[in-house]
Amino acid sequence: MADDLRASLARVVAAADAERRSIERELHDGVQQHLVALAVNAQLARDVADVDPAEALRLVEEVALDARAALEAVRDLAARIYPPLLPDRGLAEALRGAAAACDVPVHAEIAGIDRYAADVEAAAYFSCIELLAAIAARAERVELRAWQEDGRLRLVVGTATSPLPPLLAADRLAALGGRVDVADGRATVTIPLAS
Amino acid sequence: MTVRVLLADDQAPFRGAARAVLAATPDFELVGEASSGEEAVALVGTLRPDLVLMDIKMPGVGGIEATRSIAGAYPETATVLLSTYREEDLPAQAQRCGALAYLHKSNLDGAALRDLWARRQPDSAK
Repeated sequence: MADDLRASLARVVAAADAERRSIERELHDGVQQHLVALAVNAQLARDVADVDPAEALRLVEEVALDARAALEAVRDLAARIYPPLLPDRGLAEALRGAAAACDVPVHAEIAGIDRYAADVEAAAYFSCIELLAAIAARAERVELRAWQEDGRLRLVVGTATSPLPPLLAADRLAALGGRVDVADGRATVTIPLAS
Repeated sequence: MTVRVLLADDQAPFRGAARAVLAATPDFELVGEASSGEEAVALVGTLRPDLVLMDIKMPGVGGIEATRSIAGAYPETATVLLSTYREEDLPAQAQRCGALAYLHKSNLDGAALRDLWARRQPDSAK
């Protein structure tokens, strides 16, 4: 039991580190690049304003585009860290948002989903996000079903054509007495709901 | 002389900005663009630029390894490393790969280009 707990804690730490690296990459490759381009274009616009006003104006328009792109990159990253839809409008809307944002088409059937404790909604959502990304990398379309049944919250995400990697959110699910079962390119997440 | 420049960066927003800086800087000419370290090394072989503006973090071998290759095979080509990191946060290999200098991307402008080139060819900047 102590070994299981130690292994679980190690996985939690590894998952947190992986998430930090992923956020650093997203900051570097996303918002930072737009901000750098903005700084360079703004400086250049100032340098050429006297001699080439038309080019300066074009560069100012580039600056505005860079600023908008940086804002969108920040918004996307913030939503990935914790989607505002989840606490505001609940799991069902957040899952629909995640399905719409997936890199491949998602056939989503989300029905009978209520509001639940924040930890339950977060565990279900982040499990789903991780599975959507894993399956989207292995398939041309994804099936997502979410429903409540016999005091449990169930999610099925599937159609992968190759084996799925271990789910980083598995320990988050286990902390709630839940689990994820993977078979035939399909993952089933089950979370017991407090009565 | 006109300094022939190769730009190596996988990030389109910065490539666009750097392109504009080079177009507005007299005596500097953009002759090619690469989006990986391997591509940069290959283009140096065919284009023989005077100066390479090399992003450190790129797919494949990355900018530091590409700079090392260029310094070994084409010592007449100067390479300037670029990134969004502070200089003190750069990996140690950045100091030992044969790069002429390091420039934070946000500081790229005509004056920086002239200053960097003067470090290699002190007479040509005057």
